[in-house]
Amino acid sequence: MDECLQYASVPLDPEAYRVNKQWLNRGIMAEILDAQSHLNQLA
Amino acid sequence: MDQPCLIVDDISHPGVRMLTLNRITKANALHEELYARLKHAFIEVNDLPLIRAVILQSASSKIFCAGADVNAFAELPLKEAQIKRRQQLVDTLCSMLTCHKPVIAALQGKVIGAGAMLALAADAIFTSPSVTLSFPEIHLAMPSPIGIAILEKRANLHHVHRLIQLGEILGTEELANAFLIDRLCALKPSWMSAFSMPACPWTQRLTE
Repeated sequence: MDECLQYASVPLDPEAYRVNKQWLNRGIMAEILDAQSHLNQLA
Repeated sequence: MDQPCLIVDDISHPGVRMLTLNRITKANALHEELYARLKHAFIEVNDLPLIRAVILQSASSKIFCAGADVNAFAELPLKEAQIKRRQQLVDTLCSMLTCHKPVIAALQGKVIGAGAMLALAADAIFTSPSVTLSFPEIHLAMPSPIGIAILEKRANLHHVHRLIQLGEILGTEELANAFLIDRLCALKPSWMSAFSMPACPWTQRLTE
């Protein structure tokens, strides 16, 4: 049941999904770019 | 004629773009062309309204991806080659993370290094029981802050430490316990058969 609920939570509206995903991933994008910059400085 | 290193299939499963890593002789190691094709595929799908989701898989059941191809840009000085390889990895990860559609990683076999970063950047991760995931960079005296950035999205510090700092190899049970995977599937000839199970509402939504 939990599994079904998990998948049922996937939004159907493409625009809502896009906006949510952009918001969800904003932190990780910044972290990745920071990490890249840090590694390039080490090089 | 050479096989493409990335097979893009928008036809077999209506509404779903299947991306298949197909550089089997090199264990799907990520080189310049594969990075470029992946990035293009993730950006292009944003303008394809009939495609509702993307599934990333390997043509091999033994390995999803061995990581970055260390022979890429071998003609350049070492540091310069590392910077270029890193830029391609970051560009590809960003194209996944900004892809407007759900990206599902369907994993089989070994998932290593930059390949693991690619998998973990997906919105959902489905695995077969054979999957192992590892970041061997620490054993090669290479720092991996990009791996940490990706892992922190899903895992707690305990698992980040084990994977990144200790370089441990985790199997599916531990990956599931760490919430690093979303669903464990039986090994099937076609990953879409797993998505087609009646109990999986997402499938219905992807293919409706």
